[in-house]
Amino acid sequence: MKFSLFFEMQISRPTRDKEAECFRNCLEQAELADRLGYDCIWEVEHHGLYEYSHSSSPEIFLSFVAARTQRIRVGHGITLTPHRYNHPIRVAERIATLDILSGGRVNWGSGKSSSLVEKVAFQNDLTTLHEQWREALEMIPRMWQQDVFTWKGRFYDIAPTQVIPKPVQRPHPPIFAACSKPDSAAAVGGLGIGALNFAVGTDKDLAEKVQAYRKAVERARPEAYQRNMHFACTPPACILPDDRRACEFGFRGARFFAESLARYYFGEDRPIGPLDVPRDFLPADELEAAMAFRTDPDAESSIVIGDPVRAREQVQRFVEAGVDELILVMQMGTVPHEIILESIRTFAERVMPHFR
Amino acid sequence: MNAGAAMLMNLSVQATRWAARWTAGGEARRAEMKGLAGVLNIEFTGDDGGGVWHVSFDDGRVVMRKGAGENPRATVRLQPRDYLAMVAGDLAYSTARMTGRIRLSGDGHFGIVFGASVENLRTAARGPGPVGWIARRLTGRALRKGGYTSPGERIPA
Repeated sequence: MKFSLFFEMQISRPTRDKEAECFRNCLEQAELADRLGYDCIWEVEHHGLYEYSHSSSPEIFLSFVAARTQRIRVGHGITLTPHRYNHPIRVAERIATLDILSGGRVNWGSGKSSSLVEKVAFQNDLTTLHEQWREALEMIPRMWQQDVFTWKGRFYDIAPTQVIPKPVQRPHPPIFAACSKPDSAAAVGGLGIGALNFAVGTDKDLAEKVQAYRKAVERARPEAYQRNMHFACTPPACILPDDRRACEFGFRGARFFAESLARYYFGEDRPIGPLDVPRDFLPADELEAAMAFRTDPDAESSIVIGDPVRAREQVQRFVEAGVDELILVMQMGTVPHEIILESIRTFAERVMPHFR
Repeated sequence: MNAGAAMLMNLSVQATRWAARWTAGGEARRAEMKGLAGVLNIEFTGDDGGGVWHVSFDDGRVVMRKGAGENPRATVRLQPRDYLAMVAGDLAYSTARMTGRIRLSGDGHFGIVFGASVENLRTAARGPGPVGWIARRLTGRALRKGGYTSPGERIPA
């Protein structure tokens, strides 16, 4: 099992100072993760999702992380590839450059975006986002491998071009995609690429999803890129020596994460300004109910929150479902930097060794 | 079955019919839902009797109906008063999930769809103009009918 960290650059009630501080804090968290043996720093790309994600230029942050760390991998989770966001040639160039400068430490995930905020801001054609993503996915790995790249497709008609530089990983960095719908994991498996699974279910359901994904990858015969069989999940996480303290911060953060995500992804509007979401600690009765529900047979494998003993139990459920990597979401808007650092340390010292 | 929760669910049934016929941007929504297939059952449990509705997704087409759907990909179970509290904005969907007040069996992605349906109701009730006014009136009426008093007074019950 691999263990990584996930960065949205979340900020509850941002100010310019808090925003700058958040980026510096995330860098410090990434450096600590590198020293403690985590596998990858994954970062999202979003635009205009105020409070939920201030991470609009992941390629800049990840290059800073690469420069300040020794061994940890840097992952785009994910790059938006519809062309109004990023032209495929620019993506290929940036990823290859980061791969060179990081010494071959790049994981590359791609996707199409889900929030109306960014889709509309970039004046995207909302009806063809999926097809644009698919075409870019076929193009970019070819750019990394071909001396002269030529393309004639539905959205792009590119004359012979030398797309340079080339990545140092051969034939190219491992490729992943976001999975945000029930059958996305199997569909992504059918393309032969790694799955970044952003929602989960009960243990049985998750195990079935992993199996369906693996069967699909085994059948996949991608022409443009090397197959990558890897299933990752992204649970909200807070692990501290004291179980109740971990739950106070962890459930509060997980609720902020989920509710602000819902505002941007599920409503049919485009929120502007501070979000109408709960930010306080859970009241005592709700906190106790949430702590008790973690071990209920009906509880989903969706969090890693608690002391190291509880965290090991929760990680074990992902192991048994066949998950390859947990990308822990510790950076949640209401969780203070010092608590995140303590959580990164506690997990690395008292949970990770049991699974390696 | 709580009359207010039943009214909101039946309104949702109507809303999916209206959305299919009249709403602008339907093509974009269908593109977003493309590939989503299956049935989500929503079961209300509790002392005042139960009730079941289902939402079926068929490659961009969404239909909600009263009664249980066959071969559900997921089932959400909750008490009517918790549903009303969510619609009123007093109970976060995520809190309901993490405390077990909403029980989900099956695919977690479909549970998200249920959360989205509550969020869409709330978005409509927050909205400006006649649509927002109608949504606020209907939601407020359903909350009153269900005997729910909102401590937060986010939507006047």
